[in-house]
Amino acid sequence: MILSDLINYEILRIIWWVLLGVLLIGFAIMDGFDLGVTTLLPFVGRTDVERRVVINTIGPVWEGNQVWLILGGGAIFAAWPPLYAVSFSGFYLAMFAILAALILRPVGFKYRSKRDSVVWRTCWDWALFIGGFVPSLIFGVAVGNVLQGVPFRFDSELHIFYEGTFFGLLNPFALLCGLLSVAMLVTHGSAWLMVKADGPVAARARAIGSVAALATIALFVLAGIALYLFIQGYRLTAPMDPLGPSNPLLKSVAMERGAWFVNYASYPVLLLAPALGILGAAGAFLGLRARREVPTFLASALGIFGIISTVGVSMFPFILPSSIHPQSSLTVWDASSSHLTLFIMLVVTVIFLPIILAYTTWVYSVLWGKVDEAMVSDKNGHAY
Amino acid sequence: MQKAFEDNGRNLGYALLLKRYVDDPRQATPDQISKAAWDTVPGVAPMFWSFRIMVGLGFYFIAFMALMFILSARRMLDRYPILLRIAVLSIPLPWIAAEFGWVVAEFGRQPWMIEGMLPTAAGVSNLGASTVLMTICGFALIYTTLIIIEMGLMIGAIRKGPAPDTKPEAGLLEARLAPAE
Repeated sequence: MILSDLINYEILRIIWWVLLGVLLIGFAIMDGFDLGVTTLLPFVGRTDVERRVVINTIGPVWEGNQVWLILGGGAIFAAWPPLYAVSFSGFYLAMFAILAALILRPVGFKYRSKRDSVVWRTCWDWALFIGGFVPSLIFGVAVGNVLQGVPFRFDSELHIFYEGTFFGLLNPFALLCGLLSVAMLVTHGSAWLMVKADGPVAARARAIGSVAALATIALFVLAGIALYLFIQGYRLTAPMDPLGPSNPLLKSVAMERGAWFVNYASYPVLLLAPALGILGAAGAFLGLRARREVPTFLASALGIFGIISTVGVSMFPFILPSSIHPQSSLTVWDASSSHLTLFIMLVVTVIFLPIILAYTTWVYSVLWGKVDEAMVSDKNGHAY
Repeated sequence: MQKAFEDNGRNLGYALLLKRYVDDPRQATPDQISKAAWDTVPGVAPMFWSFRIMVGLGFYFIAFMALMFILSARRMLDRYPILLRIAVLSIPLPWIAAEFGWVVAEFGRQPWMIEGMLPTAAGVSNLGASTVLMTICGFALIYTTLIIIEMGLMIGAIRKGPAPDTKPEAGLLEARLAPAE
């Protein structure tokens, strides 16, 4: 008997669909507050010392958090190769824009304090703003496009042809999702700043964060209504074999309005996902008003979990629908790696994900406490 | 059919090499087959030299570091200023070694993306050349800007010099090498 037969292919595919969600949500929660904080940087810090406080609240952790993005990309590469090939080539210029913005982040942190010049430091503050705002927006825009379907198709040899343009990504619904993503991550960043900073920085973060939390709820509801009224979902017209080969061309798919809401009718328990999205953001709003530091951050994280899971469960079993050739759409049942690959990676994940979570928890407990002005003004310290 | 696949499956990658010359590999002429076969012969001279430059530099780093370690352990770093100059001039060499290693790996495995399985010509995405060129220019622009900024900061830091060393062993350095107060 081969060891990988212990878990059936169907279950493995579902596990890796869940893990894909875990890694993307992990990225959104962990690096999300870094993106939110740098987006907020020019607005919550008025003086140089205040801005350095803001930067140093995430100074020791942002690099580790960013690894969730690499982990997510790696998991897509290894578990969902066609998804990797289609999305990384299809969203090529969008990926470039994200990378360019993310490159500004480390250099912003490292270079900003190297010179005592107002112009120098202000330039890097805005570079950090771009490094937070642009990826937040584009990740949301990408999700908005995934929900509408992406213009790609496979030919009979499974070569991928992408027929969209970069500006085609910037349609109204996708931009709505982009704004939702920005609002969600700004809320999360504000919650983090309330936990890690004091005084005027925290006060401004609370003010902006409250607005962002309400905007998150409004945009999430609006996006749901727009999805229902204007966007065509995708539906399998015949059941698929969950153990079938990873060849997307073997199924038949129809596009129809409201198809993204079918799963909720079949399994009403899934409504928990959007409910958590709204409740989490509402909790973050109340927490920011009531200055409940840690509960606010947890509520905001829960909201992110709810909002991203909503996208996942609405589309299941679709992962990446194709707008020009629905049959080419990628689903959980026909876009995965082989049984053996999924099994080996699951074993690796089961060993290493707890280790990562353990040391991450340890790092955060060591770094627990507020960053204040005395700490960043200490000449012998390691503050940025 | 299953039997035919099992007998010949591992050679299918070689058939795909023909796609560069003919759309349907089954229709290939002996001339095209010979051309595709010659594609698998590597360009020896660039491989030979880039590999040896990389490995030679590697051995040079080991030898030079060992020498400097011995001198440093015996507090004789200041005895041979020429070595210090060589050390500074060696700063770009690891980068050169890495680039030649890259050439060995990427140029050396052509025409394959995965040896024996997937020819490069069959594995590339259908992104247009202009799109790829755009991001190459974009990255070149970003990194050029950053290296100019970085060099400015480094030169500034070097001009400023190290902070005065007050530990007792600092006295072991000759006066001309001691950091300026």
